[in-house]
Amino acid sequence: MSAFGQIATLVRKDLLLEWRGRARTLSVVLFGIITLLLFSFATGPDTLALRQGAAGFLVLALLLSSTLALSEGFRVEHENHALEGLLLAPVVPGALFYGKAISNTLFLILLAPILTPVAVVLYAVEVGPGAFFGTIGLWALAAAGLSAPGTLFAAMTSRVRSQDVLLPVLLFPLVVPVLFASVKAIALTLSGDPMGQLASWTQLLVGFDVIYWVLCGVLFRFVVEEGV
Amino acid sequence: MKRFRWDAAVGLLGLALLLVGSYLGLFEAPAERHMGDVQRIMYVHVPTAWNAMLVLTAAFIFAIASVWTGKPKWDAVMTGATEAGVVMGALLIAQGMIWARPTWGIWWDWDVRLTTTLIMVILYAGILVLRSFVEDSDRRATWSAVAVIIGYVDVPLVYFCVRWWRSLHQIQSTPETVSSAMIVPLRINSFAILFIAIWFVAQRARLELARRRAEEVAPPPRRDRRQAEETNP
Amino acid sequence: MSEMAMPEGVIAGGWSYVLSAYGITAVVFIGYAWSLLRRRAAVSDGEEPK
Repeated sequence: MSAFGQIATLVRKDLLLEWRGRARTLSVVLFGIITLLLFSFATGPDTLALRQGAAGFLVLALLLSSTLALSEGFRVEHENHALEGLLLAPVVPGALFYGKAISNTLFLILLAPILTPVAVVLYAVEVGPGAFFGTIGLWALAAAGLSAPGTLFAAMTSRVRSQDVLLPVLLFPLVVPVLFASVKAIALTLSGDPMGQLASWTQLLVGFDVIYWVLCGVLFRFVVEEGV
Repeated sequence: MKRFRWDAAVGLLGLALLLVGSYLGLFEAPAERHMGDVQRIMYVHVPTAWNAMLVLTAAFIFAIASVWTGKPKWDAVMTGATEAGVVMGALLIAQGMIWARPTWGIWWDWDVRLTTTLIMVILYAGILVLRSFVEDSDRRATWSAVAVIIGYVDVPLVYFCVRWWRSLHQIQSTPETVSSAMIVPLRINSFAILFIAIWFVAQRARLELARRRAEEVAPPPRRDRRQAEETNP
Repeated sequence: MSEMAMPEGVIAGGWSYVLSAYGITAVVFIGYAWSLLRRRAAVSDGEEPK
C-alpha cells in the first residue's frame, strides 16, 4: 500500500472510531461551548468588550478543546498496544503521523460550525455569510497549526505520567505564533479590515502550518521508533 | 573527585572577569546621557541576553547531534544547555523588568524581546518538565531533543509575530555615541558570562551522566515492572 | 522593593535599580551553581559506580 493509501486508511479508521465514540466527541463540543460561556462571564456583560475579544475567545476555545481531543487520540492507540500493531503492519511512521494529524485536524474543524454560531450569538458579533465562512476557514487553518505539533507531543505525553498537564505545558507556548496569527486574522474578518491586513496574517498562518507539518512529520519518526 | 577539571578553571575565570567587568561598568564607565546611571544595568543585561541565546543555540545543535547519534553525552550537554538557557532567560526577564521600571515607568511592557523571551523560557522549562516525567533514559533523550529542535525553530516565529502584533510600538533607540569606556566592560562581561555558562553546562552534563550511570546500576522500580510485563505476558 | 519613594526623573538616581539588577544576577548565578553542586553530590553519594 502506498503511503497515501496508508494515510487515507488511518484517517478513515480514526474517524470511524470517533463516530463510534460519539459521547466523547459530544463532550469535547460541550467543553468548547462552556469555555465560550466562561469567557463572557469573566469579561462581564459589556457588549463592546465581548465583541472585541470574540476572536480571541473563539481561538482559545479551540486551543483548550484541542488538548482534550489530542491526548485522547493517542490514548486509544496505547490501549491494547494498537500502535505497535500498526507499526508492525507495517505502516511507515510518516504515514502514521500524517494520518493522525489529519484526523485530529478534521475533528477540530468539526467544532467550528458549532462553536462559531455560539460565539456570534454570545458576543453579539454582527457577521454576514462571508465573514462567517471566512472565520470557519481560518479556524481550519488554526486547527491544522495546532494539530501537527499537538499530534507529535501527544505521542510522547500519552505514554508518561501526568499526561493531562504535560501536553498543554509543551503545546501552548509552542503554538503561540498560530494563536497570534489566527486571532488577528479572525478579528479582522469579524470586525472589518480597513487596513487590508487580513491577507498577510492569513499567509502567515498558512506559513506556520507548512513549517509545523513538515518539521513535525520529519521528527515523528524518532518519537515512535524509540521503543514503543 | 579532587582531580583538576578544565571546567572549574573556566568557571573561576568567568567569575573573576565578571567581577572586573562589573566594577568597570558600575564605577568607571560614564553615565549615559539620557538614562543616567540606570543604563549601567546594560553591562550585565546585554551579556546575559547574548549568552542566553548562545546557550540555547548550542542546545539546538546538541539536540540534533543527540537525535542523530543517540549518544548519551550529547543528551547530557543538551540538558545542560537547556537548563542553563532557562535559568539565564529567567534572569534576563528579571533584569529587563528592573530596567524597564525606571526607564519606561512600568515593570512589564509587551515589548518584542520581553514577550519572546518569556514565551521561550516557558517553552524550554516545559521541556525540562517533560524530561522529569520520562523514566526510560533513551526515550527521555530522544523526546526532549525533538522538543528542543521544534522549540528552537519556533522562537523566531514568535519573535516576528510579536513584532507584527506590536507594529505600532516604537523601536528602542540605541545610544548614538558609544565610548570605549562603555564597550570594554560590556565585552569583559560578555566573556565572563560565557565562561560561567560553559561551567553551568559542563557541570549539568556531568550530573546528567552520573544520574544515567546510577540509573543503569539500579533502574527505577516502575520501569522494571513494565519490562517484566513485556517479557512474560 | 528597596525604597518607597522613587525618583520621577529619568536622568537622576536609579542606583537602587542598578544594584538590584546586579544583585539578582549574583543571586541567580550563585544559587544555580550551588544547586548544581548539591545535586551532583547527591548522586555521587548515592550510587557512584566507581
